Amino acid sequence: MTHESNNSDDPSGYFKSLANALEVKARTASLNDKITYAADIQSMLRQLLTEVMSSLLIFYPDFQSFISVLNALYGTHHYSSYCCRSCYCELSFS
Amino acid sequence: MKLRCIPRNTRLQGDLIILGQTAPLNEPDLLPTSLPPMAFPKETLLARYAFSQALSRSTALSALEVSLDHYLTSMALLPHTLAETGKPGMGRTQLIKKLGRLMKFRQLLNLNRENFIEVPDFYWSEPELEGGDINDS
Repeated sequence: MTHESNNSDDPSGYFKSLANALEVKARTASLNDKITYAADIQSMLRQLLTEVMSSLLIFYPDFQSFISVLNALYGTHHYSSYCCRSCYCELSFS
Repeated sequence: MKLRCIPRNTRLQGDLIILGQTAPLNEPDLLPTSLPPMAFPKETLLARYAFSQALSRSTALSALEVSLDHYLTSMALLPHTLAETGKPGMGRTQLIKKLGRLMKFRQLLNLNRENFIEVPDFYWSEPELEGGDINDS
């Protein structure tokens, strides 16, 4: 603990005096800032995922049925056991 | 942090919680009628509750801080990998899991019922226990 509570001479303020002394507000703001930074990366990743899915749909307009056929032939997880190696989508296009 | 019980006003002084006299409650019904034997006076129960709740909030926040640090460490190489290869270097499922974890952090911090921003409802009826300006914490 680094500092005294602002109202340490005040008999009231039990909850907030300790919360202030433990710097809960500042630490919460700091965590939110870190999450905001991570969210910037998150939005970029989301954009990447969207682009990958869009490109897949261009090459395979009937993408859902393509996956359905794969699943029907080889089981639910088959399509993720291969990788096209041209992206990070984990989908099979062999 | 030490806990001391002396016949003065209850307060926080530096690293010391001093348990003493407290003003009467606005709603005396809040205090349970039957209480188990305890080391400290019954009158200080709700003051101890208020202090404990602030401590527990700080402890929960510490746990969240550690978890977020681990998460950020696990993502630390991502900007480098993107810069070097133009690809995230992890699978689609793994990426989506990472996004989900980040959303969970935000939710835990700000949106859950026991979040770290709002003052618990309990103190609206007992401002003595909450203390300070309502916008302080």
